Amino acid sequence: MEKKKTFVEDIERTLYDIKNEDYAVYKTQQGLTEKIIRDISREKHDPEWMLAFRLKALDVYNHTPMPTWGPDLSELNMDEIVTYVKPKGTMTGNWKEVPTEIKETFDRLGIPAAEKTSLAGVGAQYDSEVVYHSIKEDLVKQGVVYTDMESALIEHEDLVKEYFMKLVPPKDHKFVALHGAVWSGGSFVYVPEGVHVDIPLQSYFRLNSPGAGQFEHTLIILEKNSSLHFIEGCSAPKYNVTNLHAGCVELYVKEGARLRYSTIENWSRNMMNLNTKRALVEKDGIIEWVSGSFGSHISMLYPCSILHGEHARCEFTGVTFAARGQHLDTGATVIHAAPYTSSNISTRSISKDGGIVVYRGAVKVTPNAHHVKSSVNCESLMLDDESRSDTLPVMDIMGDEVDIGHEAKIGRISDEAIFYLMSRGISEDEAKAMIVRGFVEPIAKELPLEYAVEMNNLVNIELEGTMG
Amino acid sequence: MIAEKEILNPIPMRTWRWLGVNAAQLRQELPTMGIYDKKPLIAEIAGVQSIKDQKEIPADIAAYAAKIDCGLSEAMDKTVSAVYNSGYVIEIAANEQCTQPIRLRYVLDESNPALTDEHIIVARENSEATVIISYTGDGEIFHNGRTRVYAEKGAKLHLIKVQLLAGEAQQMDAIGAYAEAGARIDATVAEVGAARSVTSLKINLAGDESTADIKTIYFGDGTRELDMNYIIRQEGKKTDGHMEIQGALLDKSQKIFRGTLDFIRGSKGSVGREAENVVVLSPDVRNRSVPLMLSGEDDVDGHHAVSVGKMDENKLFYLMSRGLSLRDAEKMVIAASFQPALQRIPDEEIKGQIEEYIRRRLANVE
Repeated sequence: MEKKKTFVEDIERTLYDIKNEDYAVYKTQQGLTEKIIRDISREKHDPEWMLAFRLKALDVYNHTPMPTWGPDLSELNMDEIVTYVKPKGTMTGNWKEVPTEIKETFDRLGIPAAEKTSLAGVGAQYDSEVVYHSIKEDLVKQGVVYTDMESALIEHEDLVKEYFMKLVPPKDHKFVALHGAVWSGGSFVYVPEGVHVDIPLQSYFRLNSPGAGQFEHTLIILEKNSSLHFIEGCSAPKYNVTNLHAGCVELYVKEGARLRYSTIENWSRNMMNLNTKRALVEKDGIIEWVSGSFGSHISMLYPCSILHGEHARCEFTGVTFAARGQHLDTGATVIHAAPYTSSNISTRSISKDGGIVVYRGAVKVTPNAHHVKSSVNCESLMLDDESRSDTLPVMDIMGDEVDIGHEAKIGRISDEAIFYLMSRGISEDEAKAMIVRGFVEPIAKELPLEYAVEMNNLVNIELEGTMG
Repeated sequence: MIAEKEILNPIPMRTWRWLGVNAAQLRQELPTMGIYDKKPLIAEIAGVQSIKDQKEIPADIAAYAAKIDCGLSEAMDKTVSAVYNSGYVIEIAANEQCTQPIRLRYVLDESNPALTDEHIIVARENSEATVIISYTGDGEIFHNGRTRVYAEKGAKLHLIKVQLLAGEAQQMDAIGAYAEAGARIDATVAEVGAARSVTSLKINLAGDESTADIKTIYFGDGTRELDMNYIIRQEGKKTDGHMEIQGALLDKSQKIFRGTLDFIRGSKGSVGREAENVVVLSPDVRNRSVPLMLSGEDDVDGHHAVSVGKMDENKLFYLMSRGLSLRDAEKMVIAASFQPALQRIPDEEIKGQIEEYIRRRLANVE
């Protein structure tokens, strides 16, 4: 007898799929040429060095081949992507001044409500530009800077020049070179020495324009012994044309500082999400990543932590859920470049309805790094035999005095577990729901409260049939 | 002929280039194959035929061999067929239980410095046999080879390969196996020699309820480079695939191990296990481990684990409480960790050689 499958609902997307009319005040032409780069740069009033940087990155882009691994990117046609879309209105610190339909979009997504209750600052980006940014007064007094990248480029030009794309240089790969050429928007955070930002800052990125690309740049600098929790959210309505997201996140965690970087990505299913994130962690510093990947058509996302100082630490917690039409290739990389560094990576993947989920990771220990500890744990749950789940970790260890462990499991909801729970008087449907909830629980408990709704959708499971 | 930079051992799913694990490369032209004039077969056994000419291989055996995915690369495969200078077809008759292992011993030296061997082993229905092939020798010697195993329904075949070539040797070796329903293929491999060794081991569990159990030990010392590509393809229902790799790296040795469990859609009820334990005894080694698990089937139970550097502290503590130094305790634990694989080799002479080699090399570790 054919075993009945647990049916797990897709994530509820209606909320994210409401699209606005495309009222952009300025748009570049489709494609990528030197003229387009010069147009973007002029439109954004870049300093001279930034234009030079963009043009150099364009050159790198033109000379870099497409990746020879990972998901098939052949449907991405850069000649059809609009790289810069300037929305109506100007950046403001007053919510009332945000254009109505943009305001309504963020209202629906609950951004201003969250600001009132649980955030210390909020940034909201609509297409290529940040439309709203605010930060609590007392943080400003302590010297904390939280602003959009464009303002940072004017107000903190020296800092931006010192750090911008130094950790993720354009030559790294094709899409980061593209980012360097056309980047726009994003957030800049600077936390001075010893300052602890107790409540999170949040930036939300919304891509409304069909066939467009979003290339926001996030630059966070944590000085010695400071701390911050930064939350990033992304979504877009669904269109029939391919949209592209190639953002870049650079995180500098100085001595003794602690940064938690949480992301809930819920791009629509026409999105190519080719994002690059990297953190440089100095002595005694801690980077904590919490990463939820639910949306997009294709994702390639592997946050990288470079543990550069002794006793630096990385914690990575991730969940990836791929349903029909999704190919989510995600994971994490850690470079142990100093003695006594440690990392802990824990991921959960779910695939259903023909979705493809891939865990791709790397742990590298450089020759001078002794007494390194690393532990990686990946678990995959497959909900049917139309889906795929692949695990591809690499460990590259140079040196002794290391303790490196990797473990991965793959499987389905076990009949025995359901039987056991049922023998305790729990209904079969509830038993299955409990198991799925239990499966993602280690991740769910790390997620910021504001995202509980999205996680709840994940475990909103509907069951059918009886035991096979 | 084969190109000098031929890509060998490609990984089933590519990843970042900077890790250098996507494939190995042939680094030098292959030497000319002369005649290998020694007799590797220790005892004449019915069913074991030397292959002088590929055309003499019986049609059904050739058809079986063609079904087996085996080789470091397609070009290397063709090269082996074209230039081999020693080879056997080993056929175990249906229902036959061979109590004695079938033993092929290759010893390379100045007069026989280059060997390319090509073997086809067919275990007929419900037969049972063990085949041991060993490679030893000194000097600048070269070995390249291919062994294909076909196990018919219910057959049990244990293939043991021991590589103990001298420190200057270049070696390449490919094993490919195909299991019909209910068949069991065990592979025991010891990689303890050569300057550079590039090997692959692929088992296709095509039939329902077929089983594969791989136990490999490797030992890196000096500047040895080991490159291994192991794949268990689980195609049939309720198949059982096991891979257990135990290694130690000393001096400036380097190793890449790619181990793949590939659950094909339809392999319902299958179980796959892969474990690699590496003990590292020098700050100058480079160890790369790539455990892959690919799945197109939900009704499977797959698990892989890799541990690098770690040794069981309880064992060390116990041994040290008995008066051993930390280093001696470590050596004892390493030697013991090789035992499960070594115990599967029913040939005291070759087993002794491996143990002696490891003991001697570990004695030099400060």
